[in-house]
Amino acid sequence: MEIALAWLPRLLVAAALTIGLSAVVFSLSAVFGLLLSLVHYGREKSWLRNGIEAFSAFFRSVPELVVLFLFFFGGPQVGIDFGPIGSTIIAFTLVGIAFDYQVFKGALKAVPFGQYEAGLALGLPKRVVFLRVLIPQILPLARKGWITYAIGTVKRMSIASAVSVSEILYVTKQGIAATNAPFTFLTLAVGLYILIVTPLLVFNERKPKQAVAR
Amino acid sequence: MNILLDPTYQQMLFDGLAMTLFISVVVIVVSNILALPLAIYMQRPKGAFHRVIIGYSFFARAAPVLALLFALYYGLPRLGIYLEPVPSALIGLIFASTAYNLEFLRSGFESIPPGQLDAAKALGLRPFATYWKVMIPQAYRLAAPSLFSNAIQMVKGSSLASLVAIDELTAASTVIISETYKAIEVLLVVSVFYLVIAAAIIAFQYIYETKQSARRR
Repeated sequence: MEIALAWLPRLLVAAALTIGLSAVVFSLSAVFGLLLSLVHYGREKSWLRNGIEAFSAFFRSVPELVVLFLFFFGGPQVGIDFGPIGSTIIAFTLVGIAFDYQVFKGALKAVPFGQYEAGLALGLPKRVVFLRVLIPQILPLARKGWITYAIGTVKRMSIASAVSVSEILYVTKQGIAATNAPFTFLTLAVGLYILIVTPLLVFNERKPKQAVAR
Repeated sequence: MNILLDPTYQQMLFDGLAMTLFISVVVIVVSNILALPLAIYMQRPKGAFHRVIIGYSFFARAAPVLALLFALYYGLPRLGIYLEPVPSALIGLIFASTAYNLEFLRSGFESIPPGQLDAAKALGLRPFATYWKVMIPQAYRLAAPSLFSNAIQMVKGSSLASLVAIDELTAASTVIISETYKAIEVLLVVSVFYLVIAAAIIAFQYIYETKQSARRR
């Protein structure tokens, strides 16, 4: 118990870092994932879409750890030092975009294409059709998949401990090395993850208000 | 790219690939075998182990896989249990993967209209035949996309074993990087290996789904 109390402040700082990094990563992933899903909307053949699909397939198939190493070790090789935090944000955001793109693309398929055509026929600018017609319908449909991935993001942040980002699991590992009390620390760590993730889980279980595409 | 022509490094990468394939196959197969009886048990009227299984599933899905691997790697020796790194990592990955597969199958079973169970009973089918002939095929058809994508997640998860002293593909790459400083070349080659494994799983999924839709016709 005493050990736990002595290390608690450091663990809480680590938890704040985990929350901050996760928030940055899943906001960026959602915005770019959504934007990519709208690229060349409705076109039958598009080289740009094929490119995005290839990007998405790559970052969904390669382990996060390998992507992280690619920026952490690969950056300095070409003269850019992203640092542990920078590499973590870039790597996890790219993987996040790859997943969120699929989530939003799926939601977009549930909205009839006629709505887009109708909007244009009414003389609305494309931007307005996207912002006022399509996106408000996609968001509730995509919410579940998107939040599920966001929950995963918090847990996956633990992988950043491999490049010495001092998030929860990194401090936990230090604690284990210093005190040889693995279970105390891992219980605390898992407890913190559960605390962070539970609000998202509860939010995700709530019935969406407008889940049906009209 | 010269370093990749070096036979020592080639050997390391292929040994790593073999270990990654071994871990992935064992985890995917065992976690699917374990998940089915648990999912079927959850369909029965509330039994003694319901809460245990729900608690297990919540814990295994809430804790990061890496934390589970650390618990086994650093924790077990404290309890006087000394496992080799490979079985210890296998246990951690199977523990996590089974919980996900269990949930996918559970929601598969729950999407089957309850009237089918009554209909099977009315036709005089025994419980075993009801599950084997009616419930399980449908649950798998519904859960298949999630089970396949979890399989890919587990291949990716096997890379975490490199952080608990297992010489799989990612670990091999870090060793080569620390000796040669050629991070980009090595990691891109490793990425291609992972891409091929994921593509193979997606190909299996495609074959499975075309067979399924052919059978339904």
